[in-house]
Amino acid sequence: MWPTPPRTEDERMSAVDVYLADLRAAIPGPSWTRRDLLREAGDHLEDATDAYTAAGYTPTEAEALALRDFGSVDDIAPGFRDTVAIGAARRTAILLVLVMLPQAFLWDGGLELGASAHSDAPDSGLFHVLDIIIGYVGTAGALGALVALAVTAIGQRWLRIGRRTAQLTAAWSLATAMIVPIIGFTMLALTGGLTVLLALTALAFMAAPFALVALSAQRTLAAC
Amino acid sequence: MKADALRGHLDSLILAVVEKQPLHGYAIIEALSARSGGELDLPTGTIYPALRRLEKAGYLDSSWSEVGGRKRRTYELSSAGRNALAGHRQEWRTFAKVVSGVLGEA
Repeated sequence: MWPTPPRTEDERMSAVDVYLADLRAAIPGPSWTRRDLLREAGDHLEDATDAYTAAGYTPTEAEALALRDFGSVDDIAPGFRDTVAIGAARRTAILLVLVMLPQAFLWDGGLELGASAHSDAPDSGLFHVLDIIIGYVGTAGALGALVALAVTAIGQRWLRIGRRTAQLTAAWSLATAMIVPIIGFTMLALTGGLTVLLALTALAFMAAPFALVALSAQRTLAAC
Repeated sequence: MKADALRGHLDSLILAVVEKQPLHGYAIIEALSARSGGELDLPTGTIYPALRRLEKAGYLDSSWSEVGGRKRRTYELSSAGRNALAGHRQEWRTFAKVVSGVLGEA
């Protein structure tokens, strides 16, 4: 096996590239938010390095000084992680609100997609209990999402929030996204008139949207 | 002056330096350093979470623009940010007046 020739100056990773790679590794979460922050960090370090180079330092010295001023990965990563987590939480809250809004219209009082499932016999006591529970859970879920949305946006004018708020938002959203469809499907099954068409309709308009919310909530938890 | 005392007002300081014109992150740091006479000593990377926070709070608007031939994300004060800055200035004047009054001259 021939030895690998030494890398050229251009091919070796610069100290800034190594730093940015380390910073990227220290920030879990949705890649698009992290990418934006890292891009700005990279731009900043480029400007700072140019400034030190213009002041007479060698490129290596200039990079080292720019990195010293920027802060170590241990110092900077926590703030970046908070930013990524809060952004992910805000998106999860938006998604939950958008999914919750049409549910009452689809299933109860509007299109009533499940109406065809009801047999001639009256609904069981359990059905009515679940009907009450899903009403409260759905309302609480939607209200919680609205509060989370406010807190993670305009609320930052007055509140210092971080990953704990993001975790709480994600947990709340995940719980809602799991409980509502489970109760909903159970109610449809209890009617005794669940057809294949109705099951597919429930999958499309209930299970799938809430699955997206659950996925977003899990990604938020990963960012925390 | 203890750097921690200045850090606690970082949001107000950021709003103040972008009051006159949009600036990108590095320029904001340079302006903070210059206007504080070098007293504001904090890791420059900490500015970016603060900028994101102020943007999501509605105090700053950001856009990508060309600065010195390079694409940079620049930040400018929103109307809500101007109102907030005016409020912070008033609070600071009142605070400074009260403390000066109590501490008095040496």
